[in-house]
Amino acid sequence: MVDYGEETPSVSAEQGVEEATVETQAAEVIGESAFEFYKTAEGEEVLEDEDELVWRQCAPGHFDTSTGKPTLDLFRPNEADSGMMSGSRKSKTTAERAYKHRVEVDQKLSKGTWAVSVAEVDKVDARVVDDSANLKPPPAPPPGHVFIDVRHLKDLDKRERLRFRSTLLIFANKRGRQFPAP
Amino acid sequence: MTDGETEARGIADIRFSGGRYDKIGFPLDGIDDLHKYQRLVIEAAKKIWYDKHPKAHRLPSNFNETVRLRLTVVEKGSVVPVLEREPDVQQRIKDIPDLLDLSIAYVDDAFATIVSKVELPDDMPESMTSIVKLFGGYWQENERAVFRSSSAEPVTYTFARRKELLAALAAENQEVRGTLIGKIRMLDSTKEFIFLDGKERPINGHFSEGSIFDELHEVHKLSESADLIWLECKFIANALSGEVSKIEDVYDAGQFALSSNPWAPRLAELAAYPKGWLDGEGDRVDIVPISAALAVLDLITERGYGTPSIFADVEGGVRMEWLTDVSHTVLSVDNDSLFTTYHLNLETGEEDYVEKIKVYRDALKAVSRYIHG
Repeated sequence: MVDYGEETPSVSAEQGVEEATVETQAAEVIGESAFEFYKTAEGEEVLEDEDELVWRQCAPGHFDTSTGKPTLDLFRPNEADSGMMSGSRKSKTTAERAYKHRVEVDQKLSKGTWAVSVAEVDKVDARVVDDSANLKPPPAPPPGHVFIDVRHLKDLDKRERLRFRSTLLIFANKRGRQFPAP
Repeated sequence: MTDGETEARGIADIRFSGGRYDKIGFPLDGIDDLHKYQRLVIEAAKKIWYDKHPKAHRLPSNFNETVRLRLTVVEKGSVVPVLEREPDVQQRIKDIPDLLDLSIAYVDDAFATIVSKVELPDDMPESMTSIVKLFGGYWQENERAVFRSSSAEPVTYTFARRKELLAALAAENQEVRGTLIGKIRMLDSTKEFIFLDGKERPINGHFSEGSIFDELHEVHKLSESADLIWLECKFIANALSGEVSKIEDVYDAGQFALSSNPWAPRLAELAAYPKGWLDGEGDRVDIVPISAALAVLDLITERGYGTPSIFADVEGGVRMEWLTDVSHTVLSVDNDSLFTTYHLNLETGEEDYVEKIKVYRDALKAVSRYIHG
């Protein structure tokens, strides 16, 4: 089983921000459980524009070349994410620049840029947070860096995790690969 | 300054900058890099000469002297070592009179590749690889070497790039215990064999246990009749590309599928994933879920259920996914051959989840109405 985050609410030490604490907000419901978002750190901005797109890079292991489709793990937070899945925002960078940053600056492989909107992220009871003001080089941070905040969803069961990832994957697939062109 | 016969920058166009190199004079630690640079040029010259004389067993006499460099001056104001030919060397290699220039160009090109791709050139000889690894070993974080420094396209090799290169080289050859799927093309009693991987690339193999010979002999016969076989083995793979270069030992072997099976190439790809295939996460996928997935996929072919995407999951299982603009259907199998199915349709709101299914036919039945046609 894969957890969405650590037991103790925290943010990456690399981001150089203070430890986060749980913030009580009006809770919506996913599955049977109410949830609470973590408190944002100073300098972080929760995106409100529902049409804003979040670029997400697809690792080679998350792509089947024969069908041209990504897997639901495109929206699985990895261990290093600590419940904050990295991406970048359309209003501050392009799908192409986000891809090139991943490949040329981060020196990691990518099968392309996919996208989900802030409204779609909201549908799975998550949110998008711009933390670009808190990222300092080296390495050079991606322009318009954001994260899909799922720290509060760490206790989802297997079915709920599948629902979360599948939902975002369907939205991303419908929009199609943003760069390179399919 | 040098005498009147010396060009301003000498024959080799290299300079160092940053940190200690931004002060007047040349730091004595840097002399070591100049020595390494000369060794690189000499080894490049040997490569160029042997490439031109593939049947030769040894170099011409005094070969090294013809491409040796000499530091004649360090220009004031910036640390530019002026490197020239040995002044008293009249002899040149007859059929490659410009060998020194070609050798310097090869070294420049090699560093251009290193800087742009963080990898060594494919044709770089091992004798140069070891020197490249040491070049810049005394640098501080802000120091660098600039090749072709006076050209329009200088190549800057920094402390950070060197660190990345060393990390990449360290990760390059990884010993993996895993499953390979392919064919055996040759098997002999000296415990050596040749294995063709999913892309028909030949890989030299060896096994230590005598009893493995009989198993391999059996699957060898299958291979000759175009069947794919699996090997549980220890192999050497490039950590970045995943390409297998050598099979060091074999522990088990068996039949996998006909080579014409449309699902076999993708499953063979997943079987060869090393541990940590997803940015350090990701278990290897062994033959149990691979075989179970193949059984499901063959049934999918038989029933015309369309083409799913196939993935490894981080826990070492295999997942088949059917994705449309409104729905997503998942059929996964774990290391214990237990199946899980999931279906979500955003348009209708329909959701279906079943876990711990023991029989693959039942698993397919659980999702068949979502993927039919």
